[in-house]
Amino acid sequence: MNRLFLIIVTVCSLLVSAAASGADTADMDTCNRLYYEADYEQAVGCYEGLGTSPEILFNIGNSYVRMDRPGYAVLYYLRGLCLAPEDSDLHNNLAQVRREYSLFQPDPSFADRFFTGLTISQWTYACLAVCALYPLFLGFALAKRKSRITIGSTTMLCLLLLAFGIAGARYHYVQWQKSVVVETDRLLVSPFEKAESVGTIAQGRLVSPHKTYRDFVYVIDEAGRKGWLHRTSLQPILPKEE
Amino acid sequence: MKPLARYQICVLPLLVLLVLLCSLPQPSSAETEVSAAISPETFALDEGALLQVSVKNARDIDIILPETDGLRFHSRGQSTQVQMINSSVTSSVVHSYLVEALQEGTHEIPPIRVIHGKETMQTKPLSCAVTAPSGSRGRQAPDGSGQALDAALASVTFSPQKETIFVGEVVPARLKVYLRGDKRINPTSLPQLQGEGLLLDELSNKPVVREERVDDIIYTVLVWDTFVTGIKEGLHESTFALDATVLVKTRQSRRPGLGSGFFNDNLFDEMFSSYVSKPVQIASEPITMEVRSLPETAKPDNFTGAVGRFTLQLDAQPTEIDPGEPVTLTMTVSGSGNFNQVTAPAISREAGIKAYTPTQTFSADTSPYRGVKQFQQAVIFTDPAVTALPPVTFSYFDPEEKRYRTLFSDPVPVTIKPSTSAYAAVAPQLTGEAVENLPDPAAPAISLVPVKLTPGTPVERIRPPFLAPWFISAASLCVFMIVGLFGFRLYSDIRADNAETLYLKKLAAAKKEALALLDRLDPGRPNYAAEARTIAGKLLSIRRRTDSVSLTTADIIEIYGAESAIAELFRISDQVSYGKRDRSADSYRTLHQQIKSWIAALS
Repeated sequence: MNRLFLIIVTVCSLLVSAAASGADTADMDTCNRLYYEADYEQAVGCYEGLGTSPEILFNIGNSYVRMDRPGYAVLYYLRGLCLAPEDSDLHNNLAQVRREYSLFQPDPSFADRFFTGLTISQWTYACLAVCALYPLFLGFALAKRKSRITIGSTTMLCLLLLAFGIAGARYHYVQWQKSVVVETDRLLVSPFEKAESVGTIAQGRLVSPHKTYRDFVYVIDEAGRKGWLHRTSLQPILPKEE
Repeated sequence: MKPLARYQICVLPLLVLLVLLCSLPQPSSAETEVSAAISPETFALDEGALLQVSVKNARDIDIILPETDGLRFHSRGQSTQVQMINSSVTSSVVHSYLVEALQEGTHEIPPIRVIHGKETMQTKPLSCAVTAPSGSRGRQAPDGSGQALDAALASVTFSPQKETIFVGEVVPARLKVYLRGDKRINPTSLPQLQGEGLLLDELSNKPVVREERVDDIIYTVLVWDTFVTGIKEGLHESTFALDATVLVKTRQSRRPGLGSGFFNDNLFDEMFSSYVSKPVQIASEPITMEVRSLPETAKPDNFTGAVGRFTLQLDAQPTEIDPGEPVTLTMTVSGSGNFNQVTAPAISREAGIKAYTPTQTFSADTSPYRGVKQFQQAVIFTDPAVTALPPVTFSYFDPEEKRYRTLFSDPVPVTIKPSTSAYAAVAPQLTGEAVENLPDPAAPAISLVPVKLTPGTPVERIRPPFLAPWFISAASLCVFMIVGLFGFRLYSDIRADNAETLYLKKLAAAKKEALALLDRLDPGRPNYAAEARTIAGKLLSIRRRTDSVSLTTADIIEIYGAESAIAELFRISDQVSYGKRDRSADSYRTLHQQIKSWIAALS
C-alpha cells in the first residue's frame, strides 16, 4: 500500500515538473517574440519575469544592446558570467559590445592572468578537494604511523594549495563586488551635484565602489581615476537582495 | 706779400659772408601763414583729388584733418620750399593728401587745424563736388559704400537651361564672369546667388578660363557649368555677384603756381600718377526664374521627392534559401535628377516578409545629378508559404512630362527549403521568427549571438559557489574530519604521556622498596644471594617492563655488562643454587653495598 502511494506521488511530481518546464519555454517564446518584434523594453520586462538564469540574463543583455544601452548590456552579461563563467556566448557578446562601444579593458596583470586561469567555481572546488583529501591522507598517515616530516610537508603543501584556492575565489568574488556604470556620467571630485568634474565615465565601464555619501558613491575606475558618481548611474554586478 | 696780408685775404671773405648771413631775416621770426587747396574741385566718384595744406614760416607743425562725410583723406607726404625774394627768405611746408570720395554730391571740408607750438591756426573751409563715376553705366555697390563699378570693366551672366522649373528639379546652367583684359581686375570671391527660392551648386575654385572678344574688346571670361535647383515655389528674381578689386589711377593735380602742368604733357602726368586698389562688386543683371510646385493630384503614396528621370533594376540573391535565411535585394536606381531625394524603393508590406534597413551607395556620372544609386536590403521570409518576392516600387516626378511615374520590378520567385529546425516545428505560432540562426532584426552592426530559446535553469539568486549550502556543508565536514583526526592524534599523545609517568612513579617506588628490603637483609645469612637476587629481579622486571622470572643471568650480563654488581649477584646466585661453595660473609657485605649503590643509581 505504501509502495503504491509512493509511486503515485512520484508520477504526479514528474508530471507537474514537466508542465512547469513547458510553461517556461512558452514564456521564453513570448519574450523572444517581443524581442524579434523590436519591442525591447517589453522583452526585458518579460525576460525578468522568468527568473534568473544565464540564458535569461544573456537575452536581457542582447535586448539592451539593441536599445543602444551598453551599460545595462554589460551588466547583464557579467551577471550571466557569474552564473556560467565558461559560457562562450556570453563572453562573445560581451566582447562585441565592449569593442563596439570602445570599452577597452586595461592590460591584465600577472595576478589577473593567474587567477582568471580558473573560474571562481574551479578555485572553489580546488579548495574543497584539498579539504577532502587531506583528512584521508591524515587518517592514513596516523594509521600507518608515518613520520612527522611526511605529515608536516604534506600539510604544508595542502595549506599552500588551499591558500591559492581561497585567493583565486576571493579574486573573482571581488570582481563580482564591482559595479557597472549604466548611464554615462561625470566623475565628480566631491559628492555634490555642482562639484567639479574630473572627467566623463562612459556607460559600460567597471568601477569599484568604496564608500557612499548621500546619493553619491565614491568609486575607482579601471584606469585608476577616483571620484564620486551619482548612485543612479551605477548598478552592482551582484544584485542587491530584496 | 707779408704773412699778415695773406691771412687778411683769407679771413675777409669769411667775415663778409658772416655779416651777410647775420643780416638775413630769420624765417622763424616771420609771421606764420596756413592755407589749403583742393584740386580739382570737381571730380568723379572713381577718381581722386589732391588736398594740399601749406604752412609758411613754420616747420614743426601738427595738422589735424576734420572728419568729413563722404570723403576720405590719404596722406601722400610733405615737401618743403625755401624762397628768397629781395633778401627776404620765405620757407613753406606743403602736406599733400589724396582725397577719396565715398559718395556723390557737394562736400564741405571744414577748416583744417594746424598746431605750431602753442599756437593753433586753421585754414579756410573748402568745398568740392563729386560727380557720378566716369562710366555712364556704372553700378552702385549694394552696401551703399559709394564704390562703383564701371560696367565696361566686368560683368556677370547666368544662363539656365530653362527658366521655368519645378520644386526639386535640377537644371544645368552656365555662369560666366567677364573681366576686361586691359584692366587690372582681380576677383576676390566666387560668384554668389543673391535671392531666394533657388539653390546654386557649390562652385569650383578653378573655373574654365578663356578669352572672348566683345565689341572689339578682349575679355577674360571665367566659366562655371553648374546646376540650379528650385527649392521654393514662386517667381524669384536673383542676381549673381562676386567681389573684386580694381586698380584705379588717381590723377596728379597741378601744383599751385605751376600753371597748366609741366609742359602740359600727358606722359609726364602718367609718370607722376599713382594707383589705388578699390574693392568693387561685380553683379549680374537681375534674372527671373519661375519655380512651380509639384502637382498634388495623382501623387503616389511612396513618392519621396525624387524629381528627374530614373530607371529601376532589381536583383535578389539567393533565391533558394533555408527557413530564416535572408535574401539580399540589390535595387539600382539610375538616371538624372535630384539623387539626394532618391530613397530605397519600397517593398510591398505583405505578411510573411520582414525587411531590414537598407544600405545605399551613389556613383556619380558626369555630374552629381546623373549616376547610379544602389540600395542593398536584406529581407527574411517569416512565412514559409511565401513563394515569391513581391515587386518593389519607386515613384518620381518627371518634369519633362509634368507627371508622376511609378516603376515596378518583376516578382522574384523564391524557394524556401523544408524546415530542419526543431524549434520552428514546436513553436509554429512564432511564424518562424525565433529560428535559431535568424539574425537580430535591428542594427546588425554588432554581430551578437542570437537570443537563447530556452530559459535554462533559473536560480534563486546569483551567489558564489562557496556560499552555496552544499559547499558549506561539505567544507564543514572536511574541516570536522581534519579537526577530529588532529584531536585523536593529540589524545593519543596525551595518553602515552600518562603511561610513562605511571611507569616512572612505579619504578621509583620499586627502587625505594628494593633498597628498604636490602637494608633489612643481612649479608651474613646463608640464603643471602638468592633473596637479594629476588629483590633485584623484581625491580628489574619493572624497569624492563617484563616478567621477573624471564630475566636470566645472560640477559643481565648483556644489558648491564659482566662487570656490573647486579651481574655479579646473579652469577653468585646461580653458583650457590647449583651447589657451588658459598662465599664468605665479608664478600657478601661488599657485594651488598655494591648492589645498593647500583640500585640507587638505577634510572
